Amino acid sequence: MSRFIACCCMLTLIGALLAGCGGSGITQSAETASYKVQLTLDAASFGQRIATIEVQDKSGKSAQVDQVVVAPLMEAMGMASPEQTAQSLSTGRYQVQGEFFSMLGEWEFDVKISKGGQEEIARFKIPVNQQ
Amino acid sequence: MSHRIIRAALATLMLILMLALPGLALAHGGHTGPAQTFTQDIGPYEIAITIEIPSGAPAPLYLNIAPQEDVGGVTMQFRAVPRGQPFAGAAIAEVQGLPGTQGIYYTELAIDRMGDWELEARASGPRGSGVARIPFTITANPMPAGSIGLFVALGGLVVAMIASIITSLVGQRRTKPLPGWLRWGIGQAMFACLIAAAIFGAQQFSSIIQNAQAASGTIPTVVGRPHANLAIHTNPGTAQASQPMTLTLNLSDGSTGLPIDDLITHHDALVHLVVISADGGFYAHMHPPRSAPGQFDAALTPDRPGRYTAYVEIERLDSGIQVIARDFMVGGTTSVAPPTFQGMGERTVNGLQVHLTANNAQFKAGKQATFTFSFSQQGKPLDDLQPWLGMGGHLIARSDDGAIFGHIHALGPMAPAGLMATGTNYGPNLQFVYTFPQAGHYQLWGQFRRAEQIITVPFAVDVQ
Ligand SMILES: [Cu+2]
Ligand SMILES: [Cu+2]
Repeated sequence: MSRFIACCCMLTLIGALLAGCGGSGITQSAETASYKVQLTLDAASFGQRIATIEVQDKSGKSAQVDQVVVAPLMEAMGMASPEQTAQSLSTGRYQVQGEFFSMLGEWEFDVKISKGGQEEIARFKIPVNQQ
Repeated sequence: MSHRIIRAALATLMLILMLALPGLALAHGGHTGPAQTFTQDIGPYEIAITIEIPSGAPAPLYLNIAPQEDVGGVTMQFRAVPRGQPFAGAAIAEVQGLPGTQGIYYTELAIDRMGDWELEARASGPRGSGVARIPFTITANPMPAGSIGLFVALGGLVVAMIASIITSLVGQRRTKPLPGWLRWGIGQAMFACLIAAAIFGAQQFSSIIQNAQAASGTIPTVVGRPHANLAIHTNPGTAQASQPMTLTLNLSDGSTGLPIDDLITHHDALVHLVVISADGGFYAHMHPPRSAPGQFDAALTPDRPGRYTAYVEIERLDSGIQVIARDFMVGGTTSVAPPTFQGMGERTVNGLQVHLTANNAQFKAGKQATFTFSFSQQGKPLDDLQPWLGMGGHLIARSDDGAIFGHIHALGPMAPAGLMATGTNYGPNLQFVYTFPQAGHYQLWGQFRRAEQIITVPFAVDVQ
């Protein structure tokens, strides 16, 4: 009986720890008028972060665009982080490193995609709950 | 074997306590929280008073007093009464200010009932004296039914654990083992308490989550309050350059016309007042004390004649922040030269070197601008800037025509309130991000705090 209780407690504890700290990377998808956009962040926390962005056309083919800019914004506090231009890794694949988040709370992470003078914005909501 | 149960039970206890403790909420909205900071200019002294709101009454009312500047020789007095009652006869708590680096002063008052209260704060010292009346509310914080069960179960668990430890100690001393039914009974009791605690804890946890979901839900439970109107009066009626004057702000509800007394603190003050002369040469960022419902009195000495604009930034309960601007005239003559605003580059302010850079050589309306202030002294970068109003830096931007008023904060986390703020430092670089909404000439003032002094760095930019 006591062994059973101990096991239950340990499992609960491990579960809670995993829920609290585990899985810090974030992947989200969004669509604009012409693109399917996937954003991957190595973590939703303070400090230097890496954002990887995949841009596809509506048929799911990697899209060739002119520029991809990320613009993090915390609307509730009226705080914008500097915009940054992502580097192209391969066709439709972009990466950018920077300090995107400086406060706890929900951030809006805008990915601005421009091609031929036309800009489309994919909006992501990133909950930042770790320093 | 029983040790293992105890360890497991302890781990569970910690876990349940962790889950049961409500998370820290940091948001606009403004219903009474456990501690609220009110920064006000009490006479010539800017003092941030943090009131620890008790969860019931009677209770002690703890005050943390953080002067934002040197208060050597200043006597600070505090008393509290239920709102609307006279202060005469109320018990006074007194604090003597010390010179030099300011920490936090503590004092307390007694509160005998719940409801709306008013705290009177007086300061008088070598530079003058003043008074502020700060409103606060004590509401009952009833324990949810689930918590009572949780605490009973946790209490039972603790009792059973202690009993188990005692019996195992006694058992070790005795040659004859304790009767098996006793250990069995304690084990069963512990198990029962554990299950009960888990159930109540889970209930509590899910209600916390439900509350959080309700708070962040898409359907707002409150729709915001009417707009505010601002009437201003100067005393003397025709203010004169180089003469002290009082600017009285009267805030009224846009729909009922009644005085507004539902302001909540945002950035550690009920009212942020910025007064700027038409040429931008006079700039004051103040926190006028509340003297009556909806009424705030600012003491200032304008240094030049002409038109001035008072920008009043407030937040009503359940509403967003709003800025109301009103002009007033100052007469007289002056020998003050018109201001010259520097652009980017290095300057010396309060004996410090401030190097200002921007992300672009040219500024365009609708394009993001990034300003970086780098602080140093004799070539040594400074990283000991102090939080002011909970932030590492504030930047006020105003278009020449007065139509655009920007209030921007330095990137970085907010400083914790009260005592914790004293350990928070910023620097040497503070960065601001702003998108000028329209073309024109803008004047800007970066504001920081170091060594109990506010550092104001004015500059100007042209936006195409
Ligand atoms: Cu202010
Ligand atoms: Cu500010």
